[in-house]
Formats: sequence, C-alpha cells, structure tokens
Amino acid sequence: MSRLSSIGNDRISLKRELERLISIFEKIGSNYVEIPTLLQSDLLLDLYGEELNSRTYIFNDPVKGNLMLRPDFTVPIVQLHIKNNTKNAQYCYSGKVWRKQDYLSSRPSEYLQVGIECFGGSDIAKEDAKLFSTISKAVGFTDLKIVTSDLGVLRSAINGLEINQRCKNALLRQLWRPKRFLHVLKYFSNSIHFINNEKKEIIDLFKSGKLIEKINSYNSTIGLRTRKDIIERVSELSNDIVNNQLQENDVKLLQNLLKISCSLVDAPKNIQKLTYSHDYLKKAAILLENRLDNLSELGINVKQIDFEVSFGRTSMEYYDGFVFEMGPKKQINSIPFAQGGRYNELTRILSRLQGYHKSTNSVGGIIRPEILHNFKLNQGIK
Amino acid sequence: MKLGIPSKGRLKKEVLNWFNNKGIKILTSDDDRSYAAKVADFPNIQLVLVPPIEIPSLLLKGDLDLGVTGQDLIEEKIPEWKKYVKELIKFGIGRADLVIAVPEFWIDVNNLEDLDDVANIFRRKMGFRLRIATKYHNLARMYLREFGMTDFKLIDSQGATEGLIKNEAAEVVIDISSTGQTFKSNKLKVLPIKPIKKSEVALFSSLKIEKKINFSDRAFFEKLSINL
Repeated sequence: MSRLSSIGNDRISLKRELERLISIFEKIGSNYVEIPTLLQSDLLLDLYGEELNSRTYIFNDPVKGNLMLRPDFTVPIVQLHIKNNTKNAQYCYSGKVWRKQDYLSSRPSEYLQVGIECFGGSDIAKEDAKLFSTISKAVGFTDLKIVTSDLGVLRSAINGLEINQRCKNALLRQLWRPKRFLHVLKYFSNSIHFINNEKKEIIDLFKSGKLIEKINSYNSTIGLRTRKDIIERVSELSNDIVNNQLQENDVKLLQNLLKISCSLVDAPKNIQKLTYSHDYLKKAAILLENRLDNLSELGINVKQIDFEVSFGRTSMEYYDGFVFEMGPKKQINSIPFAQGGRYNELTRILSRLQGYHKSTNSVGGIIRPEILHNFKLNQGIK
Repeated sequence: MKLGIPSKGRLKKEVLNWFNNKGIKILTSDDDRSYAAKVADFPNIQLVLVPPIEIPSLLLKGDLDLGVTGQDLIEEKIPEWKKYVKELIKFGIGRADLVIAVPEFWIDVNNLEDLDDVANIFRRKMGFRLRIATKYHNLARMYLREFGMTDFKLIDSQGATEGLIKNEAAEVVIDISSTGQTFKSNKLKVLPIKPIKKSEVALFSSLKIEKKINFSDRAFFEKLSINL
C-alpha cells in the first residue's frame, strides 16, 4: 500500500521518526491516547455524509451495527474529550487510518497519522499560532510550501450581511461546494428568475389561502415530511421572490473575498480593504492580524506562508476557522506532510449530541509520517 | 466460451426470444426451475443461467466471457466499467430509467434545487439527514455529488423500495422504472427532470474475450452482426 518499504532499515528509521514526533507532542504536555480501529459508523456518516461513506471501509456486525475502519482520529478524540468533561486538555495519537482512493490513484488506502488535538484556551489567535508552530517544528525543516486560510473570513462575511436566516443557512452550508455556492448567490440575488410557472401557481395558491385545499386533494400524505412543512416552505419561496436577500454589493463582497490569494502578511490589509462598514469582517481581519503577530513571536517566518480565502473550501468540511497545509515545494499534486485547523463547530455539535450545552474551543493538526519520512530520505534531510 | 443470461422470469423469456429472432436457438429444460440450457449449433458456447444482478461481477472476475444484463447494473456494479467490459449490442428490451421519486403531495418539489432545499430544512427540523432509499448506491451517489446535494444520506434497499416512505424509513426513492406504475401505486411521483440513467438490456463481453475466440465462435458473432 504505502510506497515505503516495511522491512529492513527503512522500517527502523520510520519507527524512530514516529517516536520523535510523539515525543515532541508529549513534551509540550499532550496525553498520548489510544483510539480503537473500528468505530461506530452512524455518527460519522451523519456528520460527514455520503462523501465519507464512499471513502471509508464499512463492515456490518450483526450485533454492533455498522462499524467503520478509522478514517480519522479527530472525531473519536473529541468524543473522548467531551466524556472526560475537562475544559483544557491536549491529546496526541499515532496510528493508521484507512481511506478508499479513486481508480488508478497512486495515493495509499492505508497510512499512518500522528497528530495533536488541543482543547480550551480563549485566545484563539494565540492557540492557532501555538498549534501551527508545534506542527511546523515537528516537521522539522522550513523549506516548505505552506498554504493557510481562515474559514472564519467567509463565515463572518456571510453572518454580517443584512439577510434573513434562510439565506445565511444556504450560503453557509454551500460554502464547501463552489459550484452550488455560486448558484445560491444567483438565486438570492434574483429569486423570481429561478421560480418556474408551476411554482408561481403554488405560490399564488398560498397567497390566496388555497394551498391547503390543493395539498388535501392528494388523499395520501405519506412519510415524515408533513403538509405543514410544505406550506412553510412555500411561504419561504414566496418571501424569496418578494424580498431579494442579496444586493449587488453583497455578492461583490463575497466574490472579491474569494479571490484573495496573497502572502499571509498582506492578508489582513487585503481584507480590511473590502470591509466598508462590515463589523463582522473587521473582527475577522483583526483576528488574522493577531494570529500573524503570535506566529512571528513564536519565531515562524510568516513571509513564506501563503493565504487563500478559498483554500480548504472543497475538502475540509467542519473546519470553521484557521486552516493550514504544509508540503514540498515545486511538487504539484503531492500529498502534504501536514495539515490542520480549527474546528470549534464540530466540538459544539458533538457536545450537544452527548448532552452537554457547553463546548470548548478546538484546534488540531496531523502529520503523515510516511510521506514526511520518505521526503526527508530523498532529500537527505536528517 | 461462457455466456450468462437472465435465469428466470419475463426477462429470460424476452432474451430467449431475442436470440431466436436472430436465428440462435437456446434450448432450455421444460422444467422452469432447472438452470440447464445450451445453444443449438454452437456447442462451444457454454450457457449459464444467472440472476442479471450477478452478471457484472462474473464478467469482471472472468467467470463469464459474455453476459446479457441491464446497462444500469453494469454501471452500478463496475466502477469505470469501460475499462473492463465492452457493450456489444443493445437488445431494445428491458428499457427503464433510473429516476428520483418523492411523495406525490410534495407539490413544491420538482427538481434537484427543491430537493436540496427540502433536505436542508428537513435536517434542521428532524436532526438527521434526508433519507434516500436505493439499491443503486454508486450511480445515485455520483449523480448527487455532481450536483452538489447536501444533507441527505443513502439508505440501502434491495427490494420493495417504494414502500419505505410509507413506513417512514425513507423520504425519497431512487429506483429503476419502466412505466412508473409502481411509483403511482405507492403514491409517489417521479421528479420531472432528465433521468439519472436510461437503461436497457444489452450483451456485454469482458475485454479479454478476443484472445479466446475460435473459428466456430466467429459464426455466433456474425449471426448477431457484431464486429469484435
């Protein structure tokens, strides 16, 4: 599976590399945790949906239900943290994860991950910088391609618009799918254009109070979606066409934000330029600036870090703040050595599911030891 | 050479008729429960009666050289199927569309945009994803992913899929339909959009077959007007 030999000297030096990484994480106060290989699949599938379903190995156990070969450590560690019911904590781990790959893909389906998850801390900029610095030091050399982003920028921009919750929800949940996001922008800018005659008739029925009659003319209402649900949605559609939620300026703001691709050093300034009187976005720019200061203080060479607003948009659902990826320079399509980010929202959702109303700030990162080790061997880096 | 054909039911009869019209007589046992059969005049061709759903994987493994089954099943069961099997000739029978069906009283739902919107509202209200029942997991997933659908999950259903909505075990169905009658009988409507997949019965061969063909087999393919 992995291109690395699993026998002989390579194996011994890979083992040393693993031990080196874990000891770095332990030295800064992380507790090493063991996570089962087989995880209950229902919760993970509900969180991540069909994309994960098609990527993971799922087995049916007639007694325990569907079990999934661990695709990732973060969710089980968040659950462990919630169960421990402590506020501040730091965990590290090491082990294999399994992911199905596309036909003819050269990516391995079984590979090692070493990582760290940090919970708590109210100074988000500082915690982000600390985590980044830890991963960066663990990777151990600096001649890297580093791309970062902050999903909080787009989220704040959306939350700060003067639009209704329905429009916000649509934008926020399609943030991950560029093609659909564009459609949502168009729909809420000019909804009437997207409502066909059939829908117009239904909306007219709603306005004249006759929609319920029409629905009742179907003598069978099966399934969990009710008559009331339909009327409520038609009411929303009716409102969509009366009040276009997005103004030209809103769309421009989001599109201009998505175009930002610059050095991390220039990112706060470039966002500030677009903010007008947008308080939410100003806050996001300030957070970016604070993070930058914290990174510099920790001795990170911030000048060599890239920032792209649209980075992490296609693959990193449930990250909701700072995200980063470190990989070799000048190698297109190579697998990154390390990646990570902030996932406060994921912890909030899992806390709620486990019956807790409070949740802690969360940030984590992983290293792919085989990829890193292989690269170092090839480059002669010790 | 091994040829797999549908093992029972209307489809088996239609396939036998099709071969008959092409001048190839397939001799089956009078006992309908017997799976023994052979092809008259072509003793080299070994006939195997198998459920159509099993034919794709038998072709893939090389247990069959030729197989008669639905295009939908080939595409569902063999990802990147063109790399492994070849479609030789369409039969013009067993025509059906893979479609999306919802309860007929969902008068506000006519396309994928609607379904995506409903899925989101549903998930917020119920706390779980909109459930789409199907046995065509790969085709359904690829199609919905291409569109960018969110807040749904696929539920496995190997039969009587249309009944799951009434049982409140699913909200939407993706299934194959030729006349739409099963949907109507179960108070469902088909979304009036292009089908996910149009399908019919065809003869497929494994890509390795060419090496195996001998002189007498050639006559078989000539009768079917197939140029290998």
